[in-house]
Amino acid sequence: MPEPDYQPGYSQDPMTSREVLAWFEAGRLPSDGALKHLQKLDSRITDGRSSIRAPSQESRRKRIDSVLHELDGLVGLHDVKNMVHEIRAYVDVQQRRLELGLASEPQTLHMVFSGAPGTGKTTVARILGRLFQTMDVLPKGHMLEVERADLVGEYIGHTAQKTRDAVKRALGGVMFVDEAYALARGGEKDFGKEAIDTLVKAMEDHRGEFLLILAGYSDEMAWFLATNPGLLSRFPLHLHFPDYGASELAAIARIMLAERQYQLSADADRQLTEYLVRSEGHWHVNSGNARLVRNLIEGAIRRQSVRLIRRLDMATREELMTLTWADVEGGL
Amino acid sequence: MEALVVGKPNVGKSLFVLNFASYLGLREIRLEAVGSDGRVLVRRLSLEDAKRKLVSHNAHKTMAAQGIDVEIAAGRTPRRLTIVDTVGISEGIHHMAEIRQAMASTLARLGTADIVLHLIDSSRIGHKTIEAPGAVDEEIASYARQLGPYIILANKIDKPGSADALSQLREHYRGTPVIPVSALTRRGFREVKSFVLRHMS
Ligand SMILES: Nc1nc2c(ncn2[C@@H]2O[C@H](COP(=O)(O)OP(=O)(O)O)[C@@H](O)[C@H]2O)c(=O)[nH]1
Ligand SMILES: [Mg+2]
Repeated sequence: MPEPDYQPGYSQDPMTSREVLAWFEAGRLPSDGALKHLQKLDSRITDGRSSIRAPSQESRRKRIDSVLHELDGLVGLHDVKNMVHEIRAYVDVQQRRLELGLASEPQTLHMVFSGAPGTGKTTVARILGRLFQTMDVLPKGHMLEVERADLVGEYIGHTAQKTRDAVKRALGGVMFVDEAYALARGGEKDFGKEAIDTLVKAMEDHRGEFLLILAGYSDEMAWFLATNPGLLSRFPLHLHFPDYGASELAAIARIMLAERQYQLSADADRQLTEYLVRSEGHWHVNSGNARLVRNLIEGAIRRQSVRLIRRLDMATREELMTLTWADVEGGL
Repeated sequence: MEALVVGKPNVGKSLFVLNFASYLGLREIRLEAVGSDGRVLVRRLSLEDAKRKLVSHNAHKTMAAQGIDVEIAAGRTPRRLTIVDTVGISEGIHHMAEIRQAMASTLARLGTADIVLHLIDSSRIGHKTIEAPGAVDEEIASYARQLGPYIILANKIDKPGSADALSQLREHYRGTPVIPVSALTRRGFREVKSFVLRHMS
């Protein structure tokens, strides 16, 4: 099972009462310091005295904005981004209503992500974990990525235990079940069914304590939810991750190259874009996504090395950075 | 209605809660404690057994918040009051994670209590022992007085030198009522009861 990648920030003051208590428990705050912070952050006191509350509210806003900024920086995913902005607004308004004593909807925010591998599902799930952490919906905001093998065991009772253990590790953050439909693969007698039941029970027992995201190919997820009607009602939010279009794939290629300190020659850039446009709509399932681009550029980088090795001593910095169309084309 | 009893370790919180509950007419103590796994454990104990379990010379004998329900006649209708004994808050950073966690649950409850009763050991002013009044008391006072009904109970007033201690505490915490009590002899319980009743409507 992949490890949660959560890194607590050890720099500033605690932002929420929950954070104060977590820091106190971790031995990072003395008793009197913890009480001071609790007093400062207590909404029963600071309501109506905005001067005290303003700084922490403002930095909370800043932190939320910086997470959303990261989301908005992702290539494409227009509808997904809109949906996340809506969710954020909804959570904020419900929290404010609660503070003012108005009826507020319970926040069940479990989600289904549908889309091919490499369309940004994991990345967005991770960002959501951080978003909900800064918004005080989830205390930790880490992400636990699991698949069938991590939840399903070999004998009766084993599955429930494995699934419960996974849930325990996900508490306070996001549990991302990749290819979730695989849980229903074996039919009624399969242990996958037990994993589903255990997850459903955990959603009741740990209401509001973790966010469950079921992810997978669109068609398979639609089938999965249709054959498990009990699940559908528990996942109010459905986000669809479409395959990337040609220009989006080209943009992803440029970003991935820049991260690695490479670039396409002007010719290679033009030809790659033309190639992607030509092939748009003709991808076989699963290749109209970021993975295709990654394989392509990693292949191109290897071919560039082979091309340069013979005259490496003479290669300029510019040449070492630049991929030509021949480098790219070799992988198509 | 929940009255939260807080203070440093060893100031007499557990003894106070048990004797005060019995003063309000409770014969059998029904202890409710939330375990670390989140389950609520309920035990029925005689007052004496409960004291043996919860009161001690050693700090942190009480390791989880304990709620005791009593019926208290407020006007004509009897009302339910839960008196909550908590884990004492010591100064600084405690070296044991288990105790820090238990203390954190006390801190968390401060934010939701209806009434806060803050016990201070009046016999230990100026001492260096764990129960001696200190920074934690200052911060509890400064926080709790803004939250709602709040009083300081100057406990162990039966011990010698208490008159002096009481006036020092009253001077120091001016603006907050300081009631002299003895969890042992039950002195001051009538005043505490009427304070609680006043805020129960
Ligand atoms: N003389 C005297 N001793 C007390 C009084 N209240 C508590 N004690 C003693 O102080 C010690 C700590 O009491 P305990 O209730 O366990 O304190 P807690 O840690 O605050 O719950 C015990 O030995 C009690 O018998 C009091 O009013 N007078
Ligand atoms: Mg105690």
